[in-house]
Amino acid sequence: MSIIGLKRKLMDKMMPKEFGFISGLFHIGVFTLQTGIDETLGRIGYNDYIFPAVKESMEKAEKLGIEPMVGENVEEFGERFIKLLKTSLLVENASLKKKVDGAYVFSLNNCFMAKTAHTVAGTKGVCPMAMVMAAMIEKYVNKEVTVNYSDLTPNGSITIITPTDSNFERK
Amino acid sequence: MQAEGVIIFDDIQGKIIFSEVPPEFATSRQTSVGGMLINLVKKFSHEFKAGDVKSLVISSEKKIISISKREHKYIIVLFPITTVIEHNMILQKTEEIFNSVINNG
Repeated sequence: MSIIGLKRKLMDKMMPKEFGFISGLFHIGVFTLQTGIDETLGRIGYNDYIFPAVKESMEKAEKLGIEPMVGENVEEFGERFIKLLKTSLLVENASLKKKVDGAYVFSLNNCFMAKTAHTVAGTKGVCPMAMVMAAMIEKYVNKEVTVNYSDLTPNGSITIITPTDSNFERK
Repeated sequence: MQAEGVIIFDDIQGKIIFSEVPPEFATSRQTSVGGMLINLVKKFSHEFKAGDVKSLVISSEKKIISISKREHKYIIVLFPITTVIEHNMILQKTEEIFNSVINNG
């Protein structure tokens, strides 16, 4: 077993059960905000306002040691971010796969938070990590993206992230 | 009465489909606020069982912002304040601009 795998096993054993409760509360907060924005301001509020705002807040993440990766493509960026997620031990595995239509499927497997959080917080929302991933694609790969609600499972999440070009006439 | 900017929001697609505004108002975040406002006003109207929103005039300190609906599209027009103008005239002008954008689109 790899060192990361061993660390992960230890975390599973050692983490107090209250972690699940806290993680559930965290997800309730995030999902309620997301659906509230969607219901009052529509998807446009979500895609065109909130995501750019998250992207701007990413400046602060760089202070935590995430290096800017401007100019790289979505796949290369995804690979680096997934490595970071796995090293953090938040997830056991993750993937970013391109579909025929150009959209990406971002999957988190055996997420440490999902185990209890998704059961507590319900099934409608965008996985916070997918939201961050989408905002980072916008920031570092310089592509606008739209994000669907995640398929939230007891073990992780599956989120469709679609890079888009501005397809309206802006003068 | 000269319009300063025009934005069209498609309610079915849920996004801005046309925007002609001065550069200082042209970011995606600025124009998207128009779409968000329309969604919020619709929600407000439905909460009070007032039905669909047909038009909206916002009279601000420095501008008049007029919104009109046609089928599933909303037009948002920015007018600078020059003189006191009747809201009906503003809506009429908004409709004319709507026609002009659609006919030239």
